[in-house]
Amino acid sequence: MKTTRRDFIKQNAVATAVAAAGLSLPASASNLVTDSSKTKLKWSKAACRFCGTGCSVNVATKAGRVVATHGDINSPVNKGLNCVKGYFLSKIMYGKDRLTQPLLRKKDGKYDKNGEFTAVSWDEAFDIMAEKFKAALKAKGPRGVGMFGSGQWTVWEGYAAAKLMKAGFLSNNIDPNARHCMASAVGGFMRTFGIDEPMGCYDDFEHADAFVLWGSNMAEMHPILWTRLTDRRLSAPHVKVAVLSTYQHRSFDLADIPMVFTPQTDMAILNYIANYIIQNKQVNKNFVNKHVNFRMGNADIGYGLRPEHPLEKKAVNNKKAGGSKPSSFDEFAKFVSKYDADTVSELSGVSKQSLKKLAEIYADPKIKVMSLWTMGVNQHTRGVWVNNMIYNIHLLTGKISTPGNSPFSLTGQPSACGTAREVGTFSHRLPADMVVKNPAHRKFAEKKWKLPEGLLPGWVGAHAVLQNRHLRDSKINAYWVQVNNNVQAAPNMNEETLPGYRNPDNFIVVSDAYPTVTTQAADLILPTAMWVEKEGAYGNAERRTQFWYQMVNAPGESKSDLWQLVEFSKRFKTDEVWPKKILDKNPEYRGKTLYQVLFTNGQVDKYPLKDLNPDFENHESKHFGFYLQKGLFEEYAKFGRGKAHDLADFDTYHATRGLRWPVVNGKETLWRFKEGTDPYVKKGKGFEFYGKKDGKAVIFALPYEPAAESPDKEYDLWLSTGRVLEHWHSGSMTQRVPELYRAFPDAVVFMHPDDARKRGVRRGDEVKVISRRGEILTRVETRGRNKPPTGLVYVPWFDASQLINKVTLDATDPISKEADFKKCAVKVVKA
Amino acid sequence: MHMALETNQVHISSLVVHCLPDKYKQVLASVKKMDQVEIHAPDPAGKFVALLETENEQGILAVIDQIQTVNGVLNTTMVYHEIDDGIEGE
Repeated sequence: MKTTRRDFIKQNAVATAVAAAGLSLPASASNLVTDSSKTKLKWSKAACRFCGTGCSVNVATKAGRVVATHGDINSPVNKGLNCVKGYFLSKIMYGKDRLTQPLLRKKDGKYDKNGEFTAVSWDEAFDIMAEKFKAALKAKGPRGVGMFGSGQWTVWEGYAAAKLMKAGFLSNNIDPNARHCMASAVGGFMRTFGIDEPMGCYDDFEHADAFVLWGSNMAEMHPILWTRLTDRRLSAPHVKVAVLSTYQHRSFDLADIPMVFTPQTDMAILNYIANYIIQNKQVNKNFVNKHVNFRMGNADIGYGLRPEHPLEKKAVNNKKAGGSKPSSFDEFAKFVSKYDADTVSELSGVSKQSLKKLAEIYADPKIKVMSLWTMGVNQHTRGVWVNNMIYNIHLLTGKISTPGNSPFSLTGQPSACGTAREVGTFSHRLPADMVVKNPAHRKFAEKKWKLPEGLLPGWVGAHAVLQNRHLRDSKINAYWVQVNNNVQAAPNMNEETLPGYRNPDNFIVVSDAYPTVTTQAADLILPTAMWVEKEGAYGNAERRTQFWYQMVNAPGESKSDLWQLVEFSKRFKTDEVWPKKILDKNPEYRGKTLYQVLFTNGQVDKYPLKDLNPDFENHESKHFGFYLQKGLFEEYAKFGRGKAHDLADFDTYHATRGLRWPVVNGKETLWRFKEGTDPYVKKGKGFEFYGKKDGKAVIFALPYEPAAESPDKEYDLWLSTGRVLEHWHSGSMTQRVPELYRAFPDAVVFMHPDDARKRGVRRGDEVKVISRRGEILTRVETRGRNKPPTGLVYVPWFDASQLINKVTLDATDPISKEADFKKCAVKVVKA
Repeated sequence: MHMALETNQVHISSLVVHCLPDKYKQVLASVKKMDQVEIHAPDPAGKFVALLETENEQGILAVIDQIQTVNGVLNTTMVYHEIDDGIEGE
């Protein structure tokens, strides 16, 4: 019988793959994957825990454990495919060193910053935490506390965190690690369109005639989208792929136009393309006249370093980095005219022939083009500018918001869009693209939250990099980090991050599922339930919101971030944290806990436990006595409905593979800003960029400006950092999967063989990578998957034993405050 | 977890492989030669399904790595995986 069963499994395996690849479509394939009659597995759907693609996976549980995951054949995103990380998802929760109890640094039975981590109860953990937060609030006011979250928070976790910080503690010192990842993309969207997130969607992959990668290694970082792109390229021979990067990587295998350019010169290349379009009379005049305004952006805006840094003192516009003034097409044409082929070829190191080929893709009105980018563009001291400049060339040609014509900003985290951006967990934002600075927006939020008028703070809180500086400078004294490993992730760890965390004035709380470099630097560690150990929602890069149920219980005493946030709010009374003036005017709020005013306000606690799906656990709701996730989601959704951010109702998302907002009358939106596909565009408009008052998008004139730090005689190499396929970000989950760990165990420095030879080192040799700020010990790789040109080295950052952020510089984009992890100067010497 | 009798386990999995159309024949020939791999539904447009039978998960990754390094292969994506432990048959 055994062979029969094995044959059956093999047929399943082939049929499913054949269906997923679109090779043929046996009708029964979708049933076969989840056929549970033989295995007694319980299957349910969830969004993948890793990148921003938002693949749907089928998750199998057996006896209270997740035992298998498969790509979900019914998902329009991944159509049954799964990358190697997604395939090993079932293992990320079962690392041997899972944290299962709160741990507090103690000496002689008492909290001590220099004590040893000691297991404590949740009660004791929250007692000391509340004491420290109250002390900081008393001494420094709301600016004395801070929180650092993530694009890996579920939608309601980010929402609860933002509400607790902004409406509870009245502090805007909350930022997500999406600041390191997407802030420049957000800045680009807001500046050009006045509304966040891509206009197009993944359906563009099947419509485009050309793809241009601007600083993205999709083959390794977004493998499933890369598969869709590859499929399009192979099934339609006229399709062209251009790959631009500062070093050669796996995506170059498919490139028709491969281009390795000198770091920072992407800006010059983009202006060259705009110039080429204008010179060759390929401007879509009708589109430009009707739908575009021109502006001249401020130049010489500095590098987001500390104000006393010489580069900041020198910068003319570092206080008005985002400023611009009205301009015209003629001025723009003149502005970009100096970016001719000769100049830009010399600056960028790219041949004139390649530059022309690339420009022609955009200029030719018959070619539908999709531009794709991630960290190469966003982690850039001019990241917002580069985003703006990519939109410039799509707007000049009118290649936007229609199938296949799509400037598409990819994201790195599963809910960078759904949580960090849409919920507004940034230090300057409120839900649905609103901002704390705007009194009308604050008033709107106060009303939706049923809070007294004038309560919410209008000051912009500290962003990611500034939070670390404030910790070091003793300005923030009580600090809570959730779902991320920022000591490893943030730039310039030696000079800023570690001194901040270990500053004796500060109390640092870190919630995580595993020990990380960040938990090591903490004073209190809280054990966290992860992924399908809780009911969750993520929003992916194409505006798709996806839900899943809690499928298993978390180990030990672990609780979700949501539980932690809401439970902690019970420890504070309004009288302790809100101004007396407001309470005098609104006495009904007096004597209430933050839990009462924020979470049992008649809205969040509106849905009873009987609304829960009886087939699944829900540890938070059962603890608090109401359907917490549903209440939070429905309260949050009120911010965006009717404002072009419409979300469907809660139950719909559990029943679908996600929907792309705005969801109006039950219908999702594939292409925004275009009449006929976007319900918000008024009849007869054709296109309408309604994020701006006059419905027009903006083309910005912006120059090429050099990097904050470039190689010189002593530090003679560019350093770029990034990821590898097998590991996700800091590796705190993927390194727990033995198969993934063994596939890429330790970081290496990728370098050109000539550069290695010049330094007297060979493949496998131990070397030091040294900058002005710090150094790491690593090994040389000259033949790996990444092939840098001479003059540049690449080091992945997942490896906690080789902390490359000791070496990087904390220069940021002055507009987005996002750090540039792709450019600083180093030397490599034999160890 | 059903860890018992691990020695009898056979891991059956399938991959979708994309390759450059002009290297399709060479890629197919190279992959055919690999142990533990069967080819299904080959399409000269540049894709096919690879069916794997390995002793463990590490074996799957090893094959993926091996295929990935074949000249002309663009990407290799996992689709299906099931462990046949030889007990629950019928």
